[in-house]
Amino acid sequence: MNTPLNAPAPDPSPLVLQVEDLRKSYGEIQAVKGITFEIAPGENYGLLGPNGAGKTTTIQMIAGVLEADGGRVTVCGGELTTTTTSLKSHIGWVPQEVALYDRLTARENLAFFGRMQGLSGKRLARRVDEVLQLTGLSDRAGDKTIKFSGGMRRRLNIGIGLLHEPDLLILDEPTVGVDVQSRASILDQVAEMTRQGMAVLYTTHYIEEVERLCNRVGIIDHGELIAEGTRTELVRMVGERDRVLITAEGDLTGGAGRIEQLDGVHQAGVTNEGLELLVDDATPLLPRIFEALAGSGISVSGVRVEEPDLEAVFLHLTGRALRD
Amino acid sequence: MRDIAWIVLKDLRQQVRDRTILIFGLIAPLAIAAALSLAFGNFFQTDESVVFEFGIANADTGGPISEGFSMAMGDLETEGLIEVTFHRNRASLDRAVEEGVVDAGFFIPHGFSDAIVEGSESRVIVVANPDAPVVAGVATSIAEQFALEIASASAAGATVAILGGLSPEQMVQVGLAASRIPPPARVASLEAEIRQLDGPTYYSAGTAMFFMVFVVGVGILSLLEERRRHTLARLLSSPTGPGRILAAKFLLSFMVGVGSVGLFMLFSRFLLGARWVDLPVTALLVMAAVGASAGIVSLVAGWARTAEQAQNFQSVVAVAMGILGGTFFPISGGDSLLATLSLGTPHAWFMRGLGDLSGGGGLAVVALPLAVLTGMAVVTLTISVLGARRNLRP
Repeated sequence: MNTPLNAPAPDPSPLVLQVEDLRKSYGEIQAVKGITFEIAPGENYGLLGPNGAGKTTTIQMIAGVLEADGGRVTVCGGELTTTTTSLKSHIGWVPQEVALYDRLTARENLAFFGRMQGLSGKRLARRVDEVLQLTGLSDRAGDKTIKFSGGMRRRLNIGIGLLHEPDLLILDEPTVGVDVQSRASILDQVAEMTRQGMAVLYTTHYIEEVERLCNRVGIIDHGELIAEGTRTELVRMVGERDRVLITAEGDLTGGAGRIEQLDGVHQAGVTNEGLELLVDDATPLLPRIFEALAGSGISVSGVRVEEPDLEAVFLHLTGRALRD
Repeated sequence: MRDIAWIVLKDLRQQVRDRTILIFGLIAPLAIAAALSLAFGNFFQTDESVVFEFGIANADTGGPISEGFSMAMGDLETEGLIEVTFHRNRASLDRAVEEGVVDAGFFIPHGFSDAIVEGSESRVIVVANPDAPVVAGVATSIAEQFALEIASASAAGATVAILGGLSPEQMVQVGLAASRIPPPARVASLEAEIRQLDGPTYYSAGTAMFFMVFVVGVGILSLLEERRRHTLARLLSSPTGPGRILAAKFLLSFMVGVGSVGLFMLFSRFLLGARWVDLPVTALLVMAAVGASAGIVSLVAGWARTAEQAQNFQSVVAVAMGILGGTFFPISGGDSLLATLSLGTPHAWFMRGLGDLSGGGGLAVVALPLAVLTGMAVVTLTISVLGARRNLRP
């Protein structure tokens, strides 16, 4: 990433963001209760939680928009507060709500927010053009944003966060209320940012987005980070199992009995179409399962493996579904 | 500082595109001022000096005091300050006023002088047209001034009587003579009234001030609007500090206020015939009035939770201050409650400043209005800036 204007040189520390014991209360309500995590350059960190879990409050404190009651946010080696303005140019924040000026054109919106980030002259003009290109809005650059569709406004909303090529891009539920096509476009943009080395903090309550984009995931609920790790780590952490569905014919009861003897297989049952197994990790077990089926004279016409997803992890950790 | 300029420019661009500010800052005040001036003022006749025509009907013929009043009015006519016509009776005077032959009239009832000499109550009756409030105010002021002169003359006569043992009639004559010795008191007071703004200028100034209050809230309103649209949070996440965002919003209010009044004055000069004198001092008055109005509006609107609520607050303040401040109808001087309350509005001080300035004298004659307006601006802006900081959150 380019060093933003007027920003102190980044710390040699490999971490772009360190959040330590972050806390925030609104009256009696503790919205954020001591959250700690960190993000390295090029890492895409997903903050997953239901509505009202404290994601946006956490994000706003990290972006330096909302004052924290306690804890510390360190960005590129410097401690960030609402008043440490110079460090803020390391961050590109895309709020959950579309934050644009309706009576300004797309180009004017970009130019204004670019200037607020310290860009000027040729660099500003170049970045405005690049972002318009990236968001697919070059041909509508001169139109007032009030005339834009919801998807176009969302894309421009994200584009503003990218203008000054920040070290850390914070995206707060960027796909809420977006049509399928625009959503795919947004996710592609974010993936591209990560490939280019930008650190991304991505909050959402859509599991498929986190599974598609994020290297690591923090699960937040009631203002607390209740689990953190890669997808595999999280799944293992809660002991969830793979489900193997086999379409087959023959002595299914006998076959199920033989398979159940294998290490790593917890359950094998007969269904209308064949067999259903519950195993620790399907990938290494599949050859031995096929051997056992062949030994029982069972002919297999199809196999499907269902790995546990983060929804199951969340259910396991909180006792309720993510979208309850 | 560049951040502040960019925010102001961005807001100005939005406001111009929205057109609301153009309507409130220029078109509406021009239309209202034209209508008021047409209805109540000497529309398009401002190149002539303002000379009011007064009628006098004296039923106290031969009375020394009523004759003194007629003589005093005659003196003023000689000086070219007013024109006087005499009417046979009250009915004739009423008709002349009603038909607009004279601007206002004075009826002196029979036995007026005797009543004064005997120390009992008697009144000069002012006959005025309710559609011409300015001239009615002037006529009332003349009558009040005359009453004061009689009171002081009586006191002087009483003093002489104690010393020399004069009869009551001699006493009044001495008093009247004494009252003529220092004519500046009476004439100066009358001049001050007549030197007030002419119709087009009065209504232009009043309307400009009235509508200016609607536009100077633009800073605090745009701050609330930015919060509603989440662009404020985005600004707060940028290296632009909260203090600079706030500074930009207040600068916006000031610029829009001064700009709208300045533009309105320019247009009113050519379209309505308003006369703006001593432009540098007038500009100082405008800036101080804008500062005071912006401070008051921001102070009140700053309590609002939403932009809509703030707009409602602003409207209430604008209308209340406009009426109380005498922008449409003069609030009569003296120590009435309304007159006292009007001094709490920047409008009253602005109008007073312009009125004082219209007679010449430059900065010195508007020192008090200017100081009061500046004081109002400093106090209210300081409080409203402190209050507005609570709105600097997502």
